[in-house]
Amino acid sequence: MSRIGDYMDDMRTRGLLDREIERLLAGAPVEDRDLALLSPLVEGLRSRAGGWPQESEVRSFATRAASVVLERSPHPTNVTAGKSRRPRMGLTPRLAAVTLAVLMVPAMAGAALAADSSIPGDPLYGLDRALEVVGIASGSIEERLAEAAELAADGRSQQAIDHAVVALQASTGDATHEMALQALEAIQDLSATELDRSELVALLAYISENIGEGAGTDGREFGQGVAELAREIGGNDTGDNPAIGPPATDPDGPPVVTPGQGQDPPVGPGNSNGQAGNGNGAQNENGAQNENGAQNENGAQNENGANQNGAQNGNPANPNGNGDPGPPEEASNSEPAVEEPPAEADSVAPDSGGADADEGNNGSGTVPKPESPSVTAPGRQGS
Amino acid sequence: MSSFPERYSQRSPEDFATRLEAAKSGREWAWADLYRDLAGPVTGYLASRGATEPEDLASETFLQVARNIQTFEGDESSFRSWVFVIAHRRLLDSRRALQRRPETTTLIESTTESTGGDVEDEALDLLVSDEMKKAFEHLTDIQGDVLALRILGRLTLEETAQTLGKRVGAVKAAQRRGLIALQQWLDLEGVTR
Repeated sequence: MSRIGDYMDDMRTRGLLDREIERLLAGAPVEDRDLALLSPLVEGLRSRAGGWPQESEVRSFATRAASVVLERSPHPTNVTAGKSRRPRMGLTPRLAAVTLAVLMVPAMAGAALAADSSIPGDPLYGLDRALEVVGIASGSIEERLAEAAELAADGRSQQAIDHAVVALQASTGDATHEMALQALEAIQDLSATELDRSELVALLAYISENIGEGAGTDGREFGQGVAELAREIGGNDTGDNPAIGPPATDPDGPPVVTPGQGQDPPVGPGNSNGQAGNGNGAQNENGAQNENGAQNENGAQNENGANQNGAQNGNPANPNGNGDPGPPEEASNSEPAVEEPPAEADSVAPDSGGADADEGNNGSGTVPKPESPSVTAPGRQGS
Repeated sequence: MSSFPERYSQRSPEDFATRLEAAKSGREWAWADLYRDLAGPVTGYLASRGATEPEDLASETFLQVARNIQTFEGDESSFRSWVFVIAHRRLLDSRRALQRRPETTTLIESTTESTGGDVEDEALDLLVSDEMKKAFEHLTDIQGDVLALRILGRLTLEETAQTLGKRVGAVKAAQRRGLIALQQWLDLEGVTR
């Protein structure tokens, strides 16, 4: 290992190192001699993103963006006439519909109800979205997904998937949103003939009904449910490649924003557990479930070992743990894998990997219980 | 915990809220400001992660931002993360597309190189493709993502974690290890720059 590497076992130093790293990455001068060697490289990289873009480009983008926004906006009222490039006629019917609806609240109820249940392509769908924008009907992600399910039921499979993907991309939800998005992106490129209508409906219905349920937990059940259903859609053809479709075999596929991807092999035991566990949802949909299970087992055992070592070695060095800027709740997640009294486990955790182990800790929550009895369910504190 | 001394600018939260409202109402000045702040970091990030046409990808990213701006609620920090999430997805999509159509890849690459752009674009491409790509080759995906978001994307720890859907601790670990890998590379190469 290099000079920085030498520090890494010492928690106190690592706390300092993290602060120095922050300074380095921010382009500030660093005191640490070894890190300072990286300064020119980092500074060189930083400067690439500076002094850019050109003002002409800024202006042309601004014009374009503004017109995109105005085209999609149902209430252009506060836009100065001079700035709007969009022909005013374009919005008028929809705006009128909304205004009318707002003014005639009682009469509107029926229309709103009808519009609310409309799906893209229906005459009323524009009204549905318009009502949502002014806050009259719910524009939740669940509704978008339910619409997608209806589109799929109509046989408009690809439109259904696109609709759901767009909605999910726009949402900033929990891990379940990401799992759903990945599953759908994995089947997005299948041709219409490859998509089984009823299976797609089942998948979209499952997603719309269960999304967000994983909030506060790791969303493991959701991920498995989605993965199973998605695999049925894409994986019927061959046994040796249970992956869903072209994107699934793509090594770049999984690294999407999934929590705990584990593309960081050099990390210690804790993290290798995270690789298997935390990325559960994503890896499942790629058909890597079996492999995943195996990794889970290993990961669980590894982490156990690591933690127990930590327990033995770590206690005396405990004060060092306080120097670690890693949030304490990450550390306390190590508990499930350690068969120790909670108090002790608490004190051990920061030393047993601190921030490094955090993905792994999360992963321990997703370890299949039957395979690794040492992992206890109550410890599933999740994220 | 992770404040950049010279962050994008010292704006108050109200300034951003005003700007966001204006952007949502289609005001050009607001979009110009947002783009001026983020186009460089986003393009740099995309280039460092091996995008063959980072400017195009950045442009797609910002247009998607414009299309979806009505759905965004949050402060400036979450806005930056949000933009980078979109950029990140665009990047992954483009990688997938390239892998599925390798023949087109070569064609596109050679075309861009011969066409060239303005001086600044070329400078960006050149520096990005040589030194930077070499450096990033020595990193794992996550290390590269994290360091690119931190250094070129100029995101904070928290913003990076939010963008990648990871925990702050995992981001810290990745950047530590990434820097170690870079240092080893510098040692080996005898690169002094």
